[in-house]
Amino acid sequence: MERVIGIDLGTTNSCVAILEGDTPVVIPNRGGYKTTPSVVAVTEAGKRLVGHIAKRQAITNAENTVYAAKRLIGRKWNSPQVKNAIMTSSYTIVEGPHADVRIKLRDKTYSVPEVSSMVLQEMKIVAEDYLGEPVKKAVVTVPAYFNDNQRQATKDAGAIAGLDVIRIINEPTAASLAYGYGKDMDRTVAVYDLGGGTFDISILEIGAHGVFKVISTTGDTFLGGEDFDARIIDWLVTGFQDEHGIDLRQDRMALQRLRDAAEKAKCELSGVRETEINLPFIISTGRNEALHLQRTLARPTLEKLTEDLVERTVDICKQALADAKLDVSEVEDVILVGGMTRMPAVQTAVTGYFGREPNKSVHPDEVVAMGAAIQGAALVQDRQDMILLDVTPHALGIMTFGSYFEELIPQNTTVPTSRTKVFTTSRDDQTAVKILVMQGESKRADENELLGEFILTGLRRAPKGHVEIEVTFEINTDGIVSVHAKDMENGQAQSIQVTATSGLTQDEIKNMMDHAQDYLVERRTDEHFEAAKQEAETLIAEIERLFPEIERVVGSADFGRDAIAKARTTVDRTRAAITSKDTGLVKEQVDQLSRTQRMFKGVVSRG
Amino acid sequence: MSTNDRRLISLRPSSAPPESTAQVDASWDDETVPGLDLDDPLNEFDRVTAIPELPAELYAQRVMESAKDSRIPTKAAPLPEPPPPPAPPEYFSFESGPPPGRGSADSTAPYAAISPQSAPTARPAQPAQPALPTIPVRSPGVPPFSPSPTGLELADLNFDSLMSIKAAPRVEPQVTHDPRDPVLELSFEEVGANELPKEPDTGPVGEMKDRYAMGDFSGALVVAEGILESNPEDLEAPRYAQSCRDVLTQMYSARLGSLDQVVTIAVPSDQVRWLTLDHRAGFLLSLVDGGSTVDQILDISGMTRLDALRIMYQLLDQRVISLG
Repeated sequence: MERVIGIDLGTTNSCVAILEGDTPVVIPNRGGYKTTPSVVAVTEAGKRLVGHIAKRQAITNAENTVYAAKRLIGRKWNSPQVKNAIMTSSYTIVEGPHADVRIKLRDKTYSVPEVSSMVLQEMKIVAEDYLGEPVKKAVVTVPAYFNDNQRQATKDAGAIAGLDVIRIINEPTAASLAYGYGKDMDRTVAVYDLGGGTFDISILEIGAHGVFKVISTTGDTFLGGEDFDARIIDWLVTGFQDEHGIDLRQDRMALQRLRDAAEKAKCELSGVRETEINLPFIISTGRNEALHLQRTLARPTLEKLTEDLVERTVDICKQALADAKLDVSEVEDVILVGGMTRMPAVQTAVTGYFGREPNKSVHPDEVVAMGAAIQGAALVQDRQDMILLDVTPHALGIMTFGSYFEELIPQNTTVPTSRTKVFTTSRDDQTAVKILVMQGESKRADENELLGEFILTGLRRAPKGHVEIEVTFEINTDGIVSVHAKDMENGQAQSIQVTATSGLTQDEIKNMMDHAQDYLVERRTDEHFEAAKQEAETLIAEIERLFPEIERVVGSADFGRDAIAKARTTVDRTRAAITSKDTGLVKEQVDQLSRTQRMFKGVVSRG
Repeated sequence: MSTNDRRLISLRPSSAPPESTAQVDASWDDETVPGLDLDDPLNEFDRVTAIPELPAELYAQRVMESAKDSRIPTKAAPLPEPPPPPAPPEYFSFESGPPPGRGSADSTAPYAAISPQSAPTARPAQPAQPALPTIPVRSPGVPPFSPSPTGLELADLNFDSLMSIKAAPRVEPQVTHDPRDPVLELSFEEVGANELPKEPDTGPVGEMKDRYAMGDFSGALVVAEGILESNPEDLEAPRYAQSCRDVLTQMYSARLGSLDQVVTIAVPSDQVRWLTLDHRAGFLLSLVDGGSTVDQILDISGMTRLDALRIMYQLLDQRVISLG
């Protein structure tokens, strides 16, 4: 049966899981980590780095390292979030040809889906290495507040990475699935998601038959674990400056070490009460002397440094409940998502606000990927009891007189669906009406997103309110929105089909897919060569170790000298093959080396 | 090296960088070269980039004597092909060989030609310089050419030979230079009877050339970078600087061995702070996690590849790290 992986494409870290039997299993990467940083970099030599290794040089190579691309994916160039990112990011953000966003790394520019595809490709490779077979299909999660363009951009990123994204599901929904919700139960749950870069709180109503309704979602896209790290860095820098009069922030290498040490200390303090931060030779003075940084950080100190950040998350939770028009006592369960929820102070705050212990039976940084894997398996196995029903993430409607938004399809309506409303003209003698199709929850049209527009003409001249126009919204199973407007008197009609766009054309996506495939082929070739080379070098070392003994035993005989000469020739040829990076040739020589090694061992054991 | 091949050159040594570093013999290994006593503080070959203690002229003489063939070709003959490099006593493998599909002419030989372009360099390639035949830049995909003997042939240097060099009596130069090569200094033959010998260049450019000729590539690089700082338009300094970087990169890479080796810290963690390191070495040390290879650490070092290699080698030499 075809395997489907579930990928949590996070702002700071990503995770991949698969269902094995009935159990979702998170797949570790080569370094043994179950999460991979969502960081992409290009070195001075033009080498691409993804994941942990990219993160380890994120500060020393800041201009060519992309992080938190999720904050930009699917957004327009002129959106406020992009403008904010331009001011705060260390990498260069430029405008693309379709008013979309591009990122400049060294001498190339990449679209945001392309950068995200590099992370998805990395997760694909992790899964393929684990499973030992190609992986083609995936379910990818996105924040509940993502609009259609952002979702489409995420799907495009998957396509570029060589993945058929068969479903995009909301992160809080995936988390709820992993906790076993959705099985014939009606519950109201809160999903408290504090990750590396963002905080999201979602209130879900879980109904029968796999309907998960996100009744409210809110958060802060600039509040996460990195902010907690920053507080520790500030504390270390201030202390060092007081002691030595040197600002460590001015040196990139020192800052990189500080950041890594701060994150490590933060994680350790979730398990122990104090930890030592030891950074020898952190900076050199002008007198050719290197200074060391050594401090002990206790948990109470960390909690004091970050208590306002934790309080902010509680304030946002209050907002989410207010938006859902629920009292905190009506929340029946709290699910923790994101590595930061391991912090004792965070758990205490959540317990204190919701008045109940949160559910933490699943690893908080793995739970979303596991939920995605569960959904992926259900789709492939056609398990109707487990399949989530697609719902519209945001309300759909049109703009009416006075710039108000008239909702036709409410948020969280299951698809496919169709709704109709009748409108009238707003001015005397109005002969045409402009239909502006919008998406969002605000009553004000200008606060929602414009998806498309069209004009219906040929209306009868009449006083306002006398001409009726029937507007119909339809969403099919593929999520394509169609809007029809019809003059109910003369039957004149006009319509528009709204499709989400990531800002990339099909040709661009195809081009990027080809490049991604080329990169994958090159990488696999390198990996195969490295494996063969390692095996060859091990055999060569063993054979060379045996040479003296072989020479002693059979070196005086003609056949012995001949065998030794042939062995040396094989060794030389193998080294030449390694130098020429010819994987096939190296593998051939490995066979000969193996035979030589066996023969030598036999001779030595008999000698 | 046959003594018959030794030709003393009393004129000022050409300080042109080699056309190609393809024949650089970087396989010297202190442990395998007999007679090389590293513990001897007077051992001038302890570090090839150090300024020798002999007078410059004499040292240059000794270096040139050990050259297999002259850097200066005969007038009539075309530039001769250099002899193939001798088989090393033990195999030495460069990881930075030509990329797949672009095999060098002798890719099956123990030594694959090293392309300065394929070895990662700290700085981007310099823009095209005015035509000087001694250091053409090899484009990717173009097989390496045989180096011209107009440059200093480091492959011809052999520590065994150097150790056995004795000061030879000065003899008249028996070779002439290629008049097409403008880099070479004027030979005595060209000096007219009534003309005074040209004063050697004692400025920074001259020092840069001298140091390069004497094998002090670190020193030559420092001088070249100093020249560029004060005069960014200088034509020779970028070429010398790039050549020095290439040579030094290869030398340090050779010392470290395979860049796929995993790096581990060889001293107890509580003793690290008692070492004598600067903050850059400290940073490089902080990247050692027991699982990363030399190549990976170089990629994320945040400094030029040459600097990272140099520091990595120093840490290895001081036994602060080990490779395996």
